[in-house]
Amino acid sequence: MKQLIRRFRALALLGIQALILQPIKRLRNLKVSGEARFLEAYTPDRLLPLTVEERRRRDRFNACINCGLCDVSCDLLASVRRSRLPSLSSVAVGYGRSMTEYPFARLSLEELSSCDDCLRCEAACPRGVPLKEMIDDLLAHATRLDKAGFGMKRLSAGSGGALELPEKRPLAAAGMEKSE
Amino acid sequence: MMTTSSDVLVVGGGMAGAVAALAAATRGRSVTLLRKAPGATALASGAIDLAPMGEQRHVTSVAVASATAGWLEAVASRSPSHPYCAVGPRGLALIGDAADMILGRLADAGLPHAPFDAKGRGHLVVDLTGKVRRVASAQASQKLEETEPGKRRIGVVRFRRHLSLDTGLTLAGLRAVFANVVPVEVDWPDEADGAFLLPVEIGRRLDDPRGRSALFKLLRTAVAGKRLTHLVLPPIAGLEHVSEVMRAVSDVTGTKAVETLGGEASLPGHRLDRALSRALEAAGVRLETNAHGASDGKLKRFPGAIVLASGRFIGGGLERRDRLRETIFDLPVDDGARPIKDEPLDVLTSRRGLGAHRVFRAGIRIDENLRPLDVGGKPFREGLFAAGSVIGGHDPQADFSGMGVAILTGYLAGLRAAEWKRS
Repeated sequence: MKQLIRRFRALALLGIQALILQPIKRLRNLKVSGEARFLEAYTPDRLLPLTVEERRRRDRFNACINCGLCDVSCDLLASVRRSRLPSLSSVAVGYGRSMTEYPFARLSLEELSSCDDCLRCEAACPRGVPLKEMIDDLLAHATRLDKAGFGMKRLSAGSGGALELPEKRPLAAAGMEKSE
Repeated sequence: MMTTSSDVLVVGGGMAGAVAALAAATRGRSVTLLRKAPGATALASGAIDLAPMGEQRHVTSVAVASATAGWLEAVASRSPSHPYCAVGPRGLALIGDAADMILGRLADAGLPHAPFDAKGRGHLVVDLTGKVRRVASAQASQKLEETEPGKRRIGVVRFRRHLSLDTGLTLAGLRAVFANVVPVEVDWPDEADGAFLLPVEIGRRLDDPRGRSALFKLLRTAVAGKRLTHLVLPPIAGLEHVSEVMRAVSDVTGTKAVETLGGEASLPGHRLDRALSRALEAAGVRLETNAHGASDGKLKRFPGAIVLASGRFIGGGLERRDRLRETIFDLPVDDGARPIKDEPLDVLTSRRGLGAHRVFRAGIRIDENLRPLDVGGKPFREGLFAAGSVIGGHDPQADFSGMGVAILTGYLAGLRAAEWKRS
């Protein structure tokens, strides 16, 4: 008998949650856009929402097979700090596949600020990776992450230019803050 | 497309396409070569392998000479789908002519090779892991001079400051084969970011006589008192002026200097790629580079003979998106035994790394006259010939026959295309 009551109570609670509480929560959430909720939940992990078009472009970035033929074509490479940007292909290999690495990509790509868009690197690529487009795209995303407060920030002077990432908040904690 | 005025159109600028274009041009045809970008040839090690010829411990034994005799025929008979077989014995018999032609043109273009030797003992080369093997030819800078084993004393150059050119493996590998192998350590390149320089950048530096002096000074000191007969360098000895660089290294150190075969980001591969371009220009072949999108309708309407030398997955001749396809004419693809269509990749590969991967043998089928075949086994189109790795039924790497197939089929396809007349 006791067990039956307990079971009934549990089912009733579930019913209330499913039929009343959940729809109310849904309605409240409607006011906040899907993008805002995505950003809140995933930017701490340095993930940003992508449009369908942006995702399609990533397929082309991923075509890199690390053959290094673009490196041979690039004259700029001779004048960059190689400890930061060892090669052009390292951008595609190191960052083209993983968004969570983008803040680091910024550091490498700053070395390419004097690139004059000769596009010889793209002409040399057997896989047709749009390197210029990729570099612009990585920088744009790194900037977006910076703005959201999850990019790479420089430590103040005296640290010898060392860099640090902001501490990653646990995803659950980030979610809790929202509902309070 | 301005190509319509040429007699022959070659699609692909790797070894196979270049040989085809040169062979057709030699027969007095006007040739245009479409090229998207550097392909697998620009990543090649520099060795001209035709088939496996003895390696490692066997290299010093006398038995090699008899063991390697007839190996070319042996490869053809072992795997009947191999292009060596597809072209028939009369085609295969022309491999010497084909190799002599292309190696001669490369020498004229400033990249001398060891004389082509398919029937004899071949030439000794060393790869980055110190493995010693015999090849039919290689860039002259890569040929290890043979001397009496007892008198051989080999130094292996190691750039102490460089991150990727650490030749510790080469040293260890060579020690497994030869008795007297010693490291020759130099602190070079000595600038701040020198550790990151790419092989090609080092090569460019050594092309310049002034750039060489710093390294040579260090080398001279490093070899002093070591009484070396041979000096093994990583594959960095000049991008354009390899002969001068090697001669200078030999003079400075009093040794027979040799480079290892190219590895990742292969400098010898770039050298080859550049020399092929120069050879094509010298032969009057019209080069259309950066010809992405060669698969459009214009190519299909070309009235003359076409040689398809578009390569495989690096060159772009084959592509696997949902299904495996040949990218220009959508020719049927198989592995030499069975058709390949939309099988998942785990069916096309083996679990063992060095196992037989069907996908690595994928390509189109040809008849004896190098004509691509359709699903019914009939020539796909009049005036269309194929060359190089786009032809299936062989694994260029595992069979040690990639360059051999490129040279032989390129030559034959070039000749057939030159002879072809619309009926």
